[in-house]
Amino acid sequence: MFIITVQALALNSQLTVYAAGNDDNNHKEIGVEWVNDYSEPGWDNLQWSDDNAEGFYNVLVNKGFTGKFHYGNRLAWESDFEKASVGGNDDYYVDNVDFVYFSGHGNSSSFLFGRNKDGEYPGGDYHYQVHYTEADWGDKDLEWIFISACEVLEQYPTEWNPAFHSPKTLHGMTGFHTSLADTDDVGELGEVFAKFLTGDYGPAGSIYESWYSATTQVGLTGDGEVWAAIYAVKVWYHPPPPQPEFERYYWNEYLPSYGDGMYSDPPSPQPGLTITIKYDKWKVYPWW
Amino acid sequence: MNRVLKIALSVLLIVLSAVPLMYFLVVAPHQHPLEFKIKLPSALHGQDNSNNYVTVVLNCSFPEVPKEMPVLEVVRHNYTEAEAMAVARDLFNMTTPLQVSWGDWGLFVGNRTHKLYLFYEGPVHYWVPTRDWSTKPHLPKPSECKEIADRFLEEVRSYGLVPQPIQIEFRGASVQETCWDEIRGSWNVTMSAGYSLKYNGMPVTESGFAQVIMGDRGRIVEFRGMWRNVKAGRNIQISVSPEQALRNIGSHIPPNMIPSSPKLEKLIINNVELAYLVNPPFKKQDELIPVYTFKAVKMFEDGKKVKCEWLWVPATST
Repeated sequence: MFIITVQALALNSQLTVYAAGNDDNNHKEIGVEWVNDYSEPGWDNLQWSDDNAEGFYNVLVNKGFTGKFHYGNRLAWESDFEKASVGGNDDYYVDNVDFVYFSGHGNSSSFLFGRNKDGEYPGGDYHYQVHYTEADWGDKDLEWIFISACEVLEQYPTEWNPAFHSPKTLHGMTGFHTSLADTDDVGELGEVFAKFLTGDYGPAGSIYESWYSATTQVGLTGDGEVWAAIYAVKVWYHPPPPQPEFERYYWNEYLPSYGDGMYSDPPSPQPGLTITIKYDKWKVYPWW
Repeated sequence: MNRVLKIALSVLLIVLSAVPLMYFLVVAPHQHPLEFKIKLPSALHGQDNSNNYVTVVLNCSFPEVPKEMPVLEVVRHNYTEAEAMAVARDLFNMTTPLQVSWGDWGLFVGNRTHKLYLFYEGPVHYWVPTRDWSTKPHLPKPSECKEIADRFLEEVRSYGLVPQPIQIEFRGASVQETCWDEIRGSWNVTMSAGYSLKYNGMPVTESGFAQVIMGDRGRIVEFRGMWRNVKAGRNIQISVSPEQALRNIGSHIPPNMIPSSPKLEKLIINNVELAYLVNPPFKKQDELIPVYTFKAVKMFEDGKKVKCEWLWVPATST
């Protein structure tokens, strides 16, 4: 009980201290991948994925973040996101940086690529896509993955739960609950998101605030309703009374060097401490 | 009496027989029962869509359009710090210590819990980001949302934040934000009341709107006045007819909105009108120009129907 209380208080007070088990010393590494050209798998091409992801990349690199990779079209490979056990290389790419942004097509179980770079291992044969069963993020460096693609966060997070490495060291994901139209406004999303995160529009916003603000203010549209979504780790400390309970929502994190910075990685589950995934979605369009 | 009855019946018969004739002579020519095929957006990077056509059916009349009409010039207002603070404190009841910062888009007043964005071009955005993710709020019913939002909009107007030529019309109230967790399931966090805008009776595109968002017990947690301050500017020629715009609509539909399967069979156009194009708040604009907006229904080969109400096509050549 005492240990939990001390842990809770320590975590609560160390908001700006950021240390994860397998993280490297640079906590500001970013990578982006985008796909406009889906002619090889025969899906509809997109027009604005490059502006979307590169906008995010450029804003952050100009503000001192370390750009580790920005791959587009034929250079964007699904294996960069996939775990080694299915033939992927996420240890060298996506899980080797702190923040990743992807823009392209998606569906309720996957996000999609224009080139088949699947591993040949059992379970890794979802061609042209990163299926939720192929992901295991956070065991190395990754903290957040931002996915600007239709429907990837359609489900409550029962599907993508396994993508959060166990014990949970990925802090969260952002994305969309529905489809959206590939208009020029989509092309601005990454840039505006990065600017909200880094204080170009008033004080820097948390990841939740910034994704909410960007998705509701760039003018996204679509057939039917468009909903954006976020899900992230929630840590619930509930020691026996009279010790106080408290909850920590990882979507309230800020980027390193902004706001309160980031939380340390979620602790391992133990008595008096519950770790779950919290999901939130909001309507982007229409506004009535 | 018999004679009177006969005369009355004769007159009635003549009138009734004339109705179909009048319809074909007067009404039908203006209804444009138009049906034609358009090519779907050409895919990029060499994908072959050459046989991909869709039937467009006009299910309404084309609007009468003037030969020319004024653009609306955007009038910028550089808020002073005192003005901005007064709006923050008096209208939005922001009492905690506030900071002010300027950007090329406008100025921010607030702190981490209360945020007010006053754009030089006119948009206003106030937001109290959700902080309490554990308590299920008591949210107002949709009818109550309208009452609360109407009252608040009047206050916004009384502070001079609503541009003069704008008319605001209620469109509906619905859930704005929903959260879920593994232990307690899902619940709604906020409700929204949405309003469309008109400038001197002319509608604006979908990026122009007003929205009041309410949380626990109807407390206003967000307000978006996504309008522009404007004045009448130069006249501009409406050089594109509604029919030309409709025939060109295919090039304004993003490819990802036309999935290859199921095949899109028909695009039923239920409304065509002239509207002013309003940009999202962070996308600067010097003037609002006229465009055609289309409200349509997509009909797919599997019988699915999907509303599509955000398409627009320029009405001018500039």
